[in-house]
Amino acid sequence: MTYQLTHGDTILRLADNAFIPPDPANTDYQAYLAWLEAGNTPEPVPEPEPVPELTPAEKLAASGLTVEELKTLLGIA
Amino acid sequence: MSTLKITNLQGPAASSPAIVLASDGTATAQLSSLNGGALSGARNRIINGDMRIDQRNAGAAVTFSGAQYTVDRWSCDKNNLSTLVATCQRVADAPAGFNYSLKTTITTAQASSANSSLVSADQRIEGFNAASLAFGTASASSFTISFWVKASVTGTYPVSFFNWTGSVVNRAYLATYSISASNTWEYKQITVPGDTSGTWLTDNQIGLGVQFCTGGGTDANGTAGSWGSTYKPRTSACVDLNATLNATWQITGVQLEAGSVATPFERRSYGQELALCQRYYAKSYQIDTVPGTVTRTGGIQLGSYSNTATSMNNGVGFRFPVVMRISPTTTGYDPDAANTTGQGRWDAAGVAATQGALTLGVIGDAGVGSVTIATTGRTAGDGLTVLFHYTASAEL
Repeated sequence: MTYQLTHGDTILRLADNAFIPPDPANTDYQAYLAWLEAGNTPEPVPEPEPVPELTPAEKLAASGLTVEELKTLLGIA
Repeated sequence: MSTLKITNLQGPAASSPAIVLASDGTATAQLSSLNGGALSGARNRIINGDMRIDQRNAGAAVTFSGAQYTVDRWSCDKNNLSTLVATCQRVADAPAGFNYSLKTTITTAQASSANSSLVSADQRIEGFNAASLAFGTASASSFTISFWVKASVTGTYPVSFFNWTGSVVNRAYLATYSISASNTWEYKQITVPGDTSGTWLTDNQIGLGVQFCTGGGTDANGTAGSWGSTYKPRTSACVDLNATLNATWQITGVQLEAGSVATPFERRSYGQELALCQRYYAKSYQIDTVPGTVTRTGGIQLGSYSNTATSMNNGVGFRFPVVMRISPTTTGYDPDAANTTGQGRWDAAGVAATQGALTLGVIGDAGVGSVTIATTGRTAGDGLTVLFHYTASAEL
């Protein structure tokens, strides 16, 4: 049995992707504490996937402006 | 045949009659107890004793290993038996007045059960529901367990009862019953004296454990008939069902009530029984839909927006159908993909419904306070919906 920390207060049990709240009367949380007591360490919180940098063309498309409109806006038409 | 005609029945030291007989043939009675227990209602401390509710499997067989909940509130346990294969399931085979039973089948036998091995069906009664038995005090009440049982192998079988201190089991009582005819429903009733010793929890933890053992190693053998500090779930005279291929054991109509008399099985409405079960296990699926099934019916759908393009978390949450025993262990499922735990499905403008990692947090006994789903390919700040199913387990 292995576990992973989350950004919130719950512990992710990796065997079945169940989220365990830190309730002392929750038997799964009790099992997690016993697992820690046995010297085990949970997986760290996973790093979020980096957001890919947009190309200039994608940035322009996301803005909804045309090239001509952008030139006009910048006074370089 | 004679008729005794009186108007009052009164104890010699009482100041008023216990029973007043009226001229119209009716009676008014001052009852303090029925068979040493409650007068009516909520006599049975066992939940789902007639095996009606099966939220997890909807009647499908489960090959169990370790401790595994099958029908609601009943755990089938198999420990340290490497060869043995056994299934547990709700079946539509029951004595008159019942529709279902819990059935264990040995599908691969193990000739000799090793030490520390066990196969059993258990129910752990919450302390709140066992507290009135007053165990661990001088006022401890006796209780009676009654049930219908059927087995393919005749002989002596055990049922045991135990406490939980919060860390160990150190009070236990072992009783036995006899199966006299194979494959025939038999009604059993056993009265157990109250235990005036030990620590018995009266809160939301285990208040009284009940275990029907069908096989185990010789080190599990003890002596029936008295409370003690050592937990032994069998006697040397008990049948070891593990050794017989295709052996079966079934049970239903389980009732545990205060006092020394087994009264008729307490009939609770389906809605009442389901709500009692949901304190320990709840789900968003339809009642007879097995979790992990591809369906959006009954699923949770939350609408929100996100200020990031890679996740949605804006404090949305959802409620459980009843307040659960504790903050439950909660699992999310993608409604559009079979048996996909830890995932949900999100939908945003211009993006087809997409699977994403689902994180559940701020879980309390009444609901989940935080739902986060990982998203890609959408625009920060736009609206989206998230779809998922859940199961929540607060078992003892």
